[in-house]
Amino acid sequence: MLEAYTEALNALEQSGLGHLARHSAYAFTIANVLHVLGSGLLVGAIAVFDVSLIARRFEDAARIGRFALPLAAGGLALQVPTGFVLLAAEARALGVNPAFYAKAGFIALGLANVALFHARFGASVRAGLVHAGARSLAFVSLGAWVLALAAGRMIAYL
Amino acid sequence: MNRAPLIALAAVAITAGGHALAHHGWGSYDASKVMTIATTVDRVEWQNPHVHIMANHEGGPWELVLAPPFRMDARGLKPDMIKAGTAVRVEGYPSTRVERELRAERIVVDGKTFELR
Repeated sequence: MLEAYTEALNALEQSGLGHLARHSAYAFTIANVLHVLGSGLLVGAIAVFDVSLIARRFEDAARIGRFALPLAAGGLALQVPTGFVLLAAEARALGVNPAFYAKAGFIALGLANVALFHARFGASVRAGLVHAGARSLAFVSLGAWVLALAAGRMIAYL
Repeated sequence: MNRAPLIALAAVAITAGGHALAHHGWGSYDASKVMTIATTVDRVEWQNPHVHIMANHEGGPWELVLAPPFRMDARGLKPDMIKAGTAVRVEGYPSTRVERELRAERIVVDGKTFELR
């Protein structure tokens, strides 16, 4: 399991993408900038939605969600490909960084929470009738995405 | 109150504890020990996330970690200025985790000083 993971990191680092990330100043820099932009969109937009639920503004939350959730999803869509470019530059080292593990864990938690939220409250958000049960998931969401961002930034310091 | 994030963090902290890392963040250099290495470059890796110089110092091989290529370029350092055989003077801080690795604060090439931070 760990061997397969190390193997995958090695393959990513040796790939054309890894080579591009290391040797093109622009590819790495642009990926870096877009990764920050993606995290801003993702965490910022999701925070507006989560806080509206936490503050029990359920009618506002339903309206906010129509704008904020696609924006957050767009941020995430920006994060994934740019993240692979950044990881590919030094995959073997970054992939075993403790902050990277933490980040992966928080992303997994955030995504699981998204799935759970949509399964339980997706229909009521669309109907404008979110209720108090959604608050606990909003806490988890806010925590998971903020900590994923923080752990991601910490990769450079560990 | 859901404690999942805390539990996840604790789990990661426990499982990740034993890993040795190949490269290190800027936090793992001892800024209180300023070192100067005057040497001749053996090899350069001009790549992201940081440019590396391999060179001998006091009888052993050192790895000198410079700035990202984009910043090197912005400060006026081009790949053809630092090559195998180039004499350099590098000031910086030794790693607290690996022997013979230095994070460069500035580099002197051909009589000119380039700040790297």
